[in-house]
Amino acid sequence: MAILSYEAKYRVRGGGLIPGTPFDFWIGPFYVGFFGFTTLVFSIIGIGCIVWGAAIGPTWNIWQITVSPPPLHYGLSWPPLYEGGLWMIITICAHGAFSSWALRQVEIARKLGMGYHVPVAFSAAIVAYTTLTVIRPLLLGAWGHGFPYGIFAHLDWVSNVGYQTLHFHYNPAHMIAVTFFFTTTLLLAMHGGVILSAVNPPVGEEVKYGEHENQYFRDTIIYSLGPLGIHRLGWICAINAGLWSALCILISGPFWTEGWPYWYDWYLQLPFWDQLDLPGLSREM
Amino acid sequence: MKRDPQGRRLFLFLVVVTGFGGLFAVLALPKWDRPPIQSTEWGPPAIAMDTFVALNREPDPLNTRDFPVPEPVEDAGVPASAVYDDVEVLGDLDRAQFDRLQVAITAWVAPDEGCSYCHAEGQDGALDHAAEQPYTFEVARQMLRMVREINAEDAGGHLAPQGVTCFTCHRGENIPAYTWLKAGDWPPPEDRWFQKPPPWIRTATTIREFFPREAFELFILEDNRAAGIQTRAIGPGDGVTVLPRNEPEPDGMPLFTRAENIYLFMMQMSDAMGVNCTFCHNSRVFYDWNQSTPHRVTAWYAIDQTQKINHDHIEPLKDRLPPFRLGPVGDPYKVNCMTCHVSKRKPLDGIPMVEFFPGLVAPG
Amino acid sequence: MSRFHSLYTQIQIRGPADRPIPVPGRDRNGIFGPFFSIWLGRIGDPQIGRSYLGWWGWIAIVTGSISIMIMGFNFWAQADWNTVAFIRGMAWHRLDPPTGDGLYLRPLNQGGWWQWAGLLLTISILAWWMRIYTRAKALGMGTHVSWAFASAIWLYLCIGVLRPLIVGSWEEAPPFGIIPHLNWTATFSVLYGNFYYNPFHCFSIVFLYGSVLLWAMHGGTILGVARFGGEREAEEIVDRGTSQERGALFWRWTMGFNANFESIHRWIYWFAILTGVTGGIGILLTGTVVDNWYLWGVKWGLAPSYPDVYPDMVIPDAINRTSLDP
Repeated sequence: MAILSYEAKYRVRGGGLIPGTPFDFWIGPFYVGFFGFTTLVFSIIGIGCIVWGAAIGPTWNIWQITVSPPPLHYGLSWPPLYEGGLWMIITICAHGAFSSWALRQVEIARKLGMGYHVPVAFSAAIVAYTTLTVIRPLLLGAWGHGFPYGIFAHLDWVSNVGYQTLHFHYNPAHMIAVTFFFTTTLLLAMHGGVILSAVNPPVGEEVKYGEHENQYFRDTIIYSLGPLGIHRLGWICAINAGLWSALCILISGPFWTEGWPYWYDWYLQLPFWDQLDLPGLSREM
Repeated sequence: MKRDPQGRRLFLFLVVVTGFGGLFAVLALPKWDRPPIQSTEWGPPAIAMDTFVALNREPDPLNTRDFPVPEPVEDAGVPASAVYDDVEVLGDLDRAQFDRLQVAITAWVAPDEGCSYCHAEGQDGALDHAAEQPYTFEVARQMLRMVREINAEDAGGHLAPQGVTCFTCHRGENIPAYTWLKAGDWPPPEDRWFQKPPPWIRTATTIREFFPREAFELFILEDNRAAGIQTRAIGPGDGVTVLPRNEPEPDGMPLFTRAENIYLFMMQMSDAMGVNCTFCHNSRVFYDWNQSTPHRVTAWYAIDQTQKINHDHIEPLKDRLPPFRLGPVGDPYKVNCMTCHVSKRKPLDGIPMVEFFPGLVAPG
Repeated sequence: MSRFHSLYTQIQIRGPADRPIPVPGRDRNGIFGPFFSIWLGRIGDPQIGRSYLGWWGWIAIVTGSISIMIMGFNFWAQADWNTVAFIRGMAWHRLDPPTGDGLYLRPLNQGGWWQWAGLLLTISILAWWMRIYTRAKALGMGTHVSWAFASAIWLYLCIGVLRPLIVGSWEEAPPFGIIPHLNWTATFSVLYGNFYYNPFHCFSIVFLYGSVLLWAMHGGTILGVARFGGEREAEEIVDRGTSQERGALFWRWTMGFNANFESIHRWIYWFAILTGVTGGIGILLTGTVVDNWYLWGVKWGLAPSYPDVYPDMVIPDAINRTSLDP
């Protein structure tokens, strides 16, 4: 089971990032590798700390379990273990595990002769996580600005962080990030749909290929980006969704402390509105 | 043969130019803050009930003006009413303290115009108490009544211990810098074919001014509470629904419009104090007092007090004020949170004010 | 490595334009193109068109244009026909739904314009769906794209039509406008007690983020195996080549599980579809079955409790007074 019919010829030795390629073997379907080993170590410690945090907490309800960052008054110092110290260890382990995972993807890509596009995209997600738990807290001067590790606790955190700037929808980077999220999902539906429709034609029809895929989108929306282009666009949009999300939270607090609506004074003050005939508006203001 | 047949260089050039141009515009056009940022946590740890202050942000000029306090004087031993005629509000105040307060009020409200801003002058340049007084005389009286009244109120500790003086709002100006007026309405439906536009103030040059004034009218002019919009029940048949669904409120305002106005009012209120929603609320459940900070109690009384200031003290002035002191629909300049607070949690960072001027607190 | 980074096309090869696949009625309704764009060719296919405009396309464009014109002219009139004010306010102009009970058609200047704009926009979208569906049929393909589009239409209809039908009033449907629809979103969440606790909102977000994650994984995989011709997905599905084998093994070795070139498209197809489907359900339940999602969350044990850190405070007497109370 563990080996696919064609798998054996791909399982070659060597090619790792570290000289000698330590841990160069598979366990079942999994490739281990040096970074698989480090992923495992970080994960065990990190998950162990989460369970520990849950155990000292008030509840075993999965929705309510949370491991909190330290209170703000600890600033950037190391807090006591039960007052955010666990959160600090988990955060370090998460960074270790995530980056190990990305490097393991690099090693696997090398073994298979593939480009590094997957680990590069994954790095965007890691950057977003680092922004939330390290960079923004550093800029604001307290680890306590990181988010709690709990399902609904982190939603409460997100809610409050949004209302810290009164109306987060007015955050320009958030607008761009949301646009990328929706666009990415739209592209995903279109791409998934067209491939399935090409190879799953109605009964009695032959399977279709690129020619029909192109013709379908030229017919309906004038332009077909083509099989390679759509993967470029989807990949870029997905990465941008992550990076703009990171940016939108990075600027909320460190680079803008008021409500986001009030950031837009500059728009009302652009010089070229001078021609506006203000008294002409039919409402006295 | 062209050296760059596929326009590769042009493409790169355009990418670089738009990239840097856009970056420059984004950095240069809007105002930005930058660290160091002072953050304060108001709720339990880890749920981001924090407010921020950018330490190197340019202060509002109003907040850099010194609070003028004349030197203390010895009591003269006679009340002001024994010396001056026509002292309605401060008659019981000691004459020396009365004079000192008059000097202070001049410095707070009309430093350039001097005494003659409110008092008629005779031929010799001295004050003529017998002559007809300018409109400002009666307005000042009304304002004194107001200040004495609100300093004496408990109001959930809204003003204590700092208290207010004329300077809290006026800051050396005849009219405080941050005020609001009612905006005119659009023509009635019969006179227009298009739908009623949103009430944005399109002539404004700041967002604070741009936001509709209906929110102020609702909550700090008329007697409405900015609360009770969230249902306190899970759904139909489960406890009490505070506001019945799909029924317009008594004033005819749809529930949803009302909710938007509450949101707007709360934003204006938070911004006026340099705080945010989480200063008072845990945003996961806005209505629940048990999850709100004590600030919310103060703010609740503050809204009440501001409503009374506008409704009982300022709005009645519209018959006394000359047209140039009235807005487009004939109402006087009214106060909101920004008028006193000027982006600070406490006006002028909470420096003591009223304790130097016992005459500004109504007795009893 | 750098020769295969696959991020843009460095050398474009230009042959004659692809000719449309012969379909009955094709020639009569063909429009626009074909022509070439060197700029589009850098990331994708340089050929634009030749496109197709049948009856459904006509209906969609005409009704859609009228709908946009209704919005635009209302905005412009609200700016007193001042062009600068019109442009300046493009972000905040709004066209509101009618207030009050009842679903009947209102006078134009009291919500009627919103109703007509919404009706025509809906017709336009449905006609566009027919176009997406009929073109797939004409080309002898499956109709999968149209059903994915139907998921987005479902969400649109839930917000703008179905929920108003259930509650019997247009009042809480979103206005047309950029900033106004953002305000609507925020107000809707606050009014109904915190959308983060709406489980179908949770699902929708999970599928939205999951879609982005899957695009990054799938896009990255295909770009990674592009040197083996991996972007020719349909061909690889019917006749597995080394690019599919490598792509599959990449994930098998990474996370112990892999899709294949066909099943990954089923994964992404369903993630994208469920984003809209679950979002629509969340909207329909709000204010109809559940009035306060936070309290719903408390009832079902979702809401964490936090330490009590506040000093005792006296809650104002009139605290439960609302403007409705006598």
